[in-house]
Amino acid sequence: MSIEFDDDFGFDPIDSRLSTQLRAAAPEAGDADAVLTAMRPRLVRARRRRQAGIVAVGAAALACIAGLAFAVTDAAPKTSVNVPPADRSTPAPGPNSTTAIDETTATTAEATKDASSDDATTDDKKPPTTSAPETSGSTAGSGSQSSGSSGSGSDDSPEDVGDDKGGTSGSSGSSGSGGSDGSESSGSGKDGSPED
Amino acid sequence: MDAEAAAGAPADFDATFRAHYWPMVRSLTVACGDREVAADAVQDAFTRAYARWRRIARYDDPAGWVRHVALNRIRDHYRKSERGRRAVDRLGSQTEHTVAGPEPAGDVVPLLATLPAQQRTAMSLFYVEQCSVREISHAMKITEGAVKYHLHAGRSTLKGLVDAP
Repeated sequence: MSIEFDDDFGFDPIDSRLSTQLRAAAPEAGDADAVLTAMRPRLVRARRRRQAGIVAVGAAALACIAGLAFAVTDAAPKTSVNVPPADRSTPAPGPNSTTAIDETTATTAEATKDASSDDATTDDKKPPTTSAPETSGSTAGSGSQSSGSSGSGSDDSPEDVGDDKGGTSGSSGSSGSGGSDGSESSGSGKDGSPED
Repeated sequence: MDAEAAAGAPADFDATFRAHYWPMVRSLTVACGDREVAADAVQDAFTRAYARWRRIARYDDPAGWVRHVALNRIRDHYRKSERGRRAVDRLGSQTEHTVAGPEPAGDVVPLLATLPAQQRTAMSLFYVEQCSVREISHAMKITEGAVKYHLHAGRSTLKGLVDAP
């Protein structure tokens, strides 16, 4: 015998008896409005607590995202290298020497450029027949420039022997007057420099 | 109502509360045997529903959600009570643990207390609150077939006891 339950009550006497007795066993219904009024502060507190919780969770999530983003950006490799300033008085190995070499190279390149420009100016003034000695003179000028930038033995260099201006130009080579040195070297070459 | 409007609560929460509070308390009292526990569970469920009413109000059966939460609260309550009782037993306490029984209102209630919890809950919801099988399945989170099984088993058990003189 299969009994099918549905929403209808009272299809069987036993169901009617059970329903009656169980409902009689249940407590009497009271005033729902009174209960609701008594519960109102509790309801409001619960809603505020939930809203505060939602706000707190949102703020915490934002803080986590911000912290994560900051950590990711901070952990990235540095794109710049801090190099201490070059100390000209006491040459030291390592980055300073590299920097000194770079400066020398840069200065030499600059001096060569200036010398070339001066040579070009000289070439404009002088006839083409004297272009070869001037080319060597400019080379000598650049050589004295490089020795001048090294700061040692510039006065003893063969290019500057017998010419005080050569030594002066060697020491002042780093100031970028190598062009004039080249012209002077060429001039001194005319005056009887060792190269000549 | 002004306070409610100020709090931003939907208007039909009060109607749902008035329509379902006492039926739930009555049926769950029969189910669990303690009116205070049932009332606390139903009130807590309505409190949770109030905090989430904007979402729950869109449900097909908001009262079903409240009923389900109340049932879970009752289950949690008795689970905690059972853990506490076992802890006291482990500590060697000789004090006798007494659980407040249901209010003396009928002969069938002690008989109902002999049923398993699932059958007792289904029977009380079906016969006291007059919930449908679908509503009971929603409240107990079991299938409608399982609800019918529990109702049939409980009914078969109580049938002989009720019919007995």
